[in-house]
Amino acid sequence: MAIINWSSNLSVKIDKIDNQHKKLISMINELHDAMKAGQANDIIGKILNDLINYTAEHFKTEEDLMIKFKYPDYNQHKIEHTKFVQEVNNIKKDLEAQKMMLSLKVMNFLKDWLSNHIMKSDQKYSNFFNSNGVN
Amino acid sequence: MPLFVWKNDYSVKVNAMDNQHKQLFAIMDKLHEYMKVGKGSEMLESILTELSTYTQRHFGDEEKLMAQHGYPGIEDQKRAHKQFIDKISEYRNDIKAKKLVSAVQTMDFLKKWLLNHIMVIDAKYADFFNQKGVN
Repeated sequence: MAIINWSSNLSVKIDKIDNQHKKLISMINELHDAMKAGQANDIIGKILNDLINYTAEHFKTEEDLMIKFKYPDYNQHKIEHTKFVQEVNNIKKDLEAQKMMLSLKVMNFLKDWLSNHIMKSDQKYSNFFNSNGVN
Repeated sequence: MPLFVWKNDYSVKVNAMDNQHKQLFAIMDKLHEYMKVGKGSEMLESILTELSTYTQRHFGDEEKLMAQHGYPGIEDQKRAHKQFIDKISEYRNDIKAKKLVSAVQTMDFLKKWLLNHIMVIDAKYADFFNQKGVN
């Protein structure tokens, strides 16, 4: 079930922008549903990318209109948009950095396995198997 | 040039096992290549999935052979194999947990954005644009 339903109190009374806001709400619902189903980890990467693509389009629509009609709060509004993009990018970068660290750990673990298991423990069975006719 | 290349020194003198060990080298090499081009974080999960599938088969075959011929070191080997499998599943859980944290961060942020931006800051431009004939 959706966590947020679109309602008229969310309307900014401009159809195109309302439609774009609805798209954001559907992303929030998609993430919420996945979290409830314990599958957030499967879609968070996609959601972050979707958000980056979505905001590039949506913020441009808003800002273009503001410039065209000389909206007095344009500068302040643009700062808010920049903050959004930064926040989403930060979450994405943090996750990537953590995964990068983990990939180093995995690599070190595998190297260690190579030198301590394959090259030592497994070597111990060579003669045993060979003398049993397995080679 | 591949960094992880199987050499004769690594041979356990049982062909089937050598061939399976070569597959591990190939997986390690793949991870290393991805890391080199900055894609370690992106590919880490598929590498871990591959490792988990690989070990199920390889450790299974190795242990079967040991049991068949009464290899005296089988218990040590089984213990080491289990540690490897546990470690890989620990890494996979670790990624899941990190992604879950990102999902929660994203959700909190989006909820705030909806309440503070769309419902407050965006609402401010509704009348302005409507008066200019944009709706």
